[in-house]
Amino acid sequence: MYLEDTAIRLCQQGDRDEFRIIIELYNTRLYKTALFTTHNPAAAQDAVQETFIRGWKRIRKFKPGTNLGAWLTRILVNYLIDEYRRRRVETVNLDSAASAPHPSGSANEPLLADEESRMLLGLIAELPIDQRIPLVMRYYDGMHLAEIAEVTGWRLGTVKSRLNRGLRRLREKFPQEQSRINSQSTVGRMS
Amino acid sequence: MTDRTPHTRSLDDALNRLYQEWDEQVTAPRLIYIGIREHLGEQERPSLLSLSSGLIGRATATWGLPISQTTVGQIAAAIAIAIVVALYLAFLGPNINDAEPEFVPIAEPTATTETVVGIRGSDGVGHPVFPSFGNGGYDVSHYDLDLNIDPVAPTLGGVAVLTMRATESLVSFNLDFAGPAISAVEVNDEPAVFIRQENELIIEPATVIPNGSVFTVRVTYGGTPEPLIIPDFDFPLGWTRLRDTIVVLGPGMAWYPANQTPSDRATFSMRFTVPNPLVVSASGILTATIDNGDTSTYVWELAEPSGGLFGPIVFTISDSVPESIAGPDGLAIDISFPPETSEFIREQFDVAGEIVELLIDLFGPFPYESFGITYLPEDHPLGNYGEPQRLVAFYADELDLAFGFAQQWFGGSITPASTADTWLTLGFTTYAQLLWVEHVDGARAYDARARAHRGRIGDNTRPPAVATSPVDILDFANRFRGALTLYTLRQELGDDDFFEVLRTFTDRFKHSAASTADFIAVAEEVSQQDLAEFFDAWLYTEAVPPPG
Repeated sequence: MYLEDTAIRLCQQGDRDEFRIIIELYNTRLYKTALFTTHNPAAAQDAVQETFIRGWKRIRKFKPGTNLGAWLTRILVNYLIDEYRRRRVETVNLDSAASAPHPSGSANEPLLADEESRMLLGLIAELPIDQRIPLVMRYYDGMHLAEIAEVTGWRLGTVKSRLNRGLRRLREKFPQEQSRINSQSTVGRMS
Repeated sequence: MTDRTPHTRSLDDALNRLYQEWDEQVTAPRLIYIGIREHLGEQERPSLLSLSSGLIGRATATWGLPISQTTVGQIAAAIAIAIVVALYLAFLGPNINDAEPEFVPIAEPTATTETVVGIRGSDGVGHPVFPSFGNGGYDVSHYDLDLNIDPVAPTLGGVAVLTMRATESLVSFNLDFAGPAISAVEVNDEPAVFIRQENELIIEPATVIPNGSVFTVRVTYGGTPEPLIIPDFDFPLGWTRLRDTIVVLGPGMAWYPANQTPSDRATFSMRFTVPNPLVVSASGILTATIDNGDTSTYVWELAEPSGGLFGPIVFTISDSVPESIAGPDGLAIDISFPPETSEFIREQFDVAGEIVELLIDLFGPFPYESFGITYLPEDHPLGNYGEPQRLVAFYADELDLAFGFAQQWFGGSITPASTADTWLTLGFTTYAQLLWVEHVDGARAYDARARAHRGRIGDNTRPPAVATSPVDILDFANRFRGALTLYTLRQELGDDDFFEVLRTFTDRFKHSAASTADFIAVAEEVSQQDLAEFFDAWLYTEAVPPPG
């Protein structure tokens, strides 16, 4: 953490170029959180850039020794909520929702090989942003509810209800879609 | 044992699988710092809470001192601050977290992070007059320039490939470049991000360049070449159109991406493709001429490591065809004249071999294996202009030729380490004129010309070894006071020691940068004299010393 601690200290002294270190350290994590939340690579990139800009402006308020990643994630979450509270996130086609080409190099190969995963991603895309955020933190970051509350700044009860509302909507549709996929694959095997 | 096929997967399992698979597939695009840097803006000031904490800290420390060292006012201020903070915490405290994330440490990030172990190369190397010239973090060993030039359009474009060695681990680095628009930059064959800020080209490679590694930078560029304007200089450098000729002189960054500093010396391979029947004459040796039909490609190689605040390459595009003349000791000299050049002018150059021979005798071996002269019958404020293995002779007078030829030793082979050392070029080349006068007309003419220089500069000038402005490079202090410094030094040391000083200096600093201190050290070493007082009076003091 020496690199990060030094970078924070120098940034707090106004050294703009040291902020590069913080960007390099947290770009991947923030981008993935933003992408899994928005399902839109361009929107995710914008969100991460705005997060870093806001982070720089507020860096003097950051308390050294505490968790910089969580602090930046909170800025990101606030941005996403502000940005998408009143409008739907424009999600993009699943197979183009990656910033890098598929490792196979095949443009026709889907991003997610598992059809069920692709179906589930489509269902998540229908959720409002404030339900997607705790979902990503729970299932991608592996956070407990208290940690999600810590990072988002929401009350624990709010986290719980938003996560549960999202999961409830998914549970309503997931088995249905699962059956559809299973029946299609059965037909495929028979024909 | 349960067979957990996809058919029976729970939502929880499906979500875990989804994010795991997605995480493996997605690569975060690199957020380029230099793209975001300009948007960072000003930092917000610390909140009232943290600001007040600092003040309390200071107030408390003050209270720790003996009361005699504090003032009633300081104590009162500290009390007032404490009250304000208490009120602030009491009424606003619960809302602080809304504006200000403050966390206790929680789980470490689970996503992969990328660790940076590099720095941003500096955008200058501390030249006081040209602070943006040169860059830090690497050393260029070779420039490979392949350019297509149409002098009529005019257009200049092509590819520059620089071979460099990192002297630090680099996240980004700068080159100096004032040339046409860049379409692509690649580092080690990987596309790199770049931005241009005035004459700085800032490059951020895809991966950190490790300290000590050799890497290549390929810059593709093209467009309309523009003259390079340097503040305080009242004439353009770089791409310059004269009547029927293009001459490109001055800092190389005017037309190729460069590390524009004397300390970074490199070799050059240059391919200039121009419409027929135009000819390119450049620094170095012409190794090939390729006729492409409508165009010809002239391949020039500069094999000796060269660099400088100016140069180290000068080239001309004209319809002049080079002619060879015999130089001393087998030195090959070629001269290009415009076709309409009169016989009278051509004859002026007959003395070229003799001038070079004299200078070899006095300065030491010619620093290159060949030498070319391009005669251009134009007025140019720089006078005859030399870079390694090429003299652009605007003036055919033998004194001007002596001045230009001497630049092969002083300016070409030895470059001034900084602007404060440029008298090492102009002072020496001006002194070479005196030496030619002495050779042709004798000692009285030599002394008379020195007295004329003394009359030109008056009783006070800028100290030659103290430069503060670009125009200082070309001023009387550098030229005439610099030459008089050598004239007087010769009186002090006697001919044997004096010329031994010059030969030792040209040998020891051959193809490298030298400072005034380097020259003084050589003079003291060869003469076995303490010359501090002498050089202090001549190079570091405004008052010109009285005649010796």
